[in-house]
Amino acid sequence: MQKDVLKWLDDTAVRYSDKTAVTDENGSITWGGFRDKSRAIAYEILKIQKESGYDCKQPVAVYMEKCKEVLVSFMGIAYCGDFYSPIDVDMPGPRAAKIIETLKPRIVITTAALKEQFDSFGYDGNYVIYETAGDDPDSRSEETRKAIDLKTYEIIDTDILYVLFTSGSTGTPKGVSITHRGVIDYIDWVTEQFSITSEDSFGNQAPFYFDNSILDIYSCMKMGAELHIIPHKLFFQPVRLLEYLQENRISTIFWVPSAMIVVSKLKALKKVDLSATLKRILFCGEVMPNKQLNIWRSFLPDALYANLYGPTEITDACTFYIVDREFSDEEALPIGKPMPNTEILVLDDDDKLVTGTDRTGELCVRGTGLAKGYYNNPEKTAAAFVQNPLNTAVPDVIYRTGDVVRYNEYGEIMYLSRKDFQIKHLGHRIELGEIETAVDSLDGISSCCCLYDEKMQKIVLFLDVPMELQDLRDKLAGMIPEYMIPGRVICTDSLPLNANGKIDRVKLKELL
Amino acid sequence: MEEKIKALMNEIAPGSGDYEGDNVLESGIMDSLQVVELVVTLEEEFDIEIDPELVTEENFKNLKAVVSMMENLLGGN
Repeated sequence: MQKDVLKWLDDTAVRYSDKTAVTDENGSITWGGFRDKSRAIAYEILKIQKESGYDCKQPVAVYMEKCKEVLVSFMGIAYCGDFYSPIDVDMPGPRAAKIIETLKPRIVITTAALKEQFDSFGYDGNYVIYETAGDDPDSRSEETRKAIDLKTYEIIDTDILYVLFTSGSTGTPKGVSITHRGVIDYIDWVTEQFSITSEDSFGNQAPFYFDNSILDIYSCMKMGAELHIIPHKLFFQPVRLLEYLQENRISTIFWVPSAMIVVSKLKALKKVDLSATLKRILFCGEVMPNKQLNIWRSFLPDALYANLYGPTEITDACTFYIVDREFSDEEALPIGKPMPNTEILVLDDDDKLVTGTDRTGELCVRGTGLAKGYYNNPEKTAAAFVQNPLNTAVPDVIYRTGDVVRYNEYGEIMYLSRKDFQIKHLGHRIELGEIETAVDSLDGISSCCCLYDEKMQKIVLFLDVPMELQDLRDKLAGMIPEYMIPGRVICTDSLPLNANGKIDRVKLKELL
Repeated sequence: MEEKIKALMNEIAPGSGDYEGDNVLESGIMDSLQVVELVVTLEEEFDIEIDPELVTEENFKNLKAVVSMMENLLGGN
């Protein structure tokens, strides 16, 4: 019986103790070493728990550059029965402060160099400094081993494993809370569906604060496969990126489409032959244009291609499509069918089930992978995680994704659009409202509106006062992440209003 | 040519042409898709082909680097 993800690490650390687990720019760690250091982190957490007398099953933040040590920290936290939440070191201070206010971490794991920066967010709690964790010989004592084992034993599968923060329209990010069960359910499917073995090597692109990384991390941990954290700067150097995949004999990638598009658009595939090594090409997080996928398919016709779809709220993904036929450049790629142990309900405006190919509806999900909700945010939780309208007999929660879909003639689900103002830009999920909230707070602005220009892949901001783009950039830089800053500003005397007195987005869209 | 490239860069990734630091890519001002857009635009505007192997950090880290790469490419014609 498996109730927590630690079982994977425990088993793999025994079977593949000396085998490389994770590699980053600074070197590698073995599965045995990974587990040992995780337990050392767990020891430090338990020590703080004992001294300050708080219970376990509490949030612990991880504040580090992207590296293998982040993953070791995640597992150290999990061993204690606590749950982890990574905070991006490039995130502007005010946004990080909002997350900390919502998460209320009991402990922060960071490095000696980054501690001061974290202090500046107004946090005054406990720290574990990664470098010195486990220095105390007591961390390896029999008593410590028993204490950690007991905490792990007390985890139940519906306990939270991690909280990932995603853009919120009011300016406060929402903390999606995912359980051990959700990850076990998902990874069991991934490893079976794609026949992952200990011989495989994964080339990780996704940041650890983005849940695409869950597939990479836990598939490797479960099977004893190798995880390569690809240096970020390779993603704008396509030939070097492909050479990296070749040199490290990467068999599996799971990237956002934008990362794949850079490679295909710049014609890098003709420079490096990956046909002997790259076996699986999976992608998720935004729409994959067939025009670009066809380039990949022409160079690597024997690889397996799979389009995964899903919001963070359902543990990374809930539908999948294994690319099994030809598509013209203009056709849309299906998001496919539900994964096993997941049910998709397509509901129309009257909450009636949509079947057949002639109507559209909102994609709603049922399943054990569903998040517990948004951490410390009961209002937003109640709005998105609702009672299944088709079931009046017993409590039965579904998640409303806000994605509008339809079925095609093969019974596959096709993504069409959003119901609201959420967009995907460079793989990042962004609520345009979060940008508007930040702009509204600037001096001299009385009205603004953000739209997404999908053709140019630019966030466009409409303002009722003149402002230079550079000026705006400077002002917003400290408030919202770089990827949310508008790429174009259009100033008008006044923003058009619709009959309800709201800003007329349809009319604004015509100005693009 | 420098003025033209500067304007193109500013157009594609606002502020990237005016950027005076060492690495516009690491600063986050220009993202990977904007690099692609810049490459495609340079190819069109100057009627040349940019080999994918030239799309590196050294060649795209700031205006000066892009200009020097383009001078080499055009000078060879």
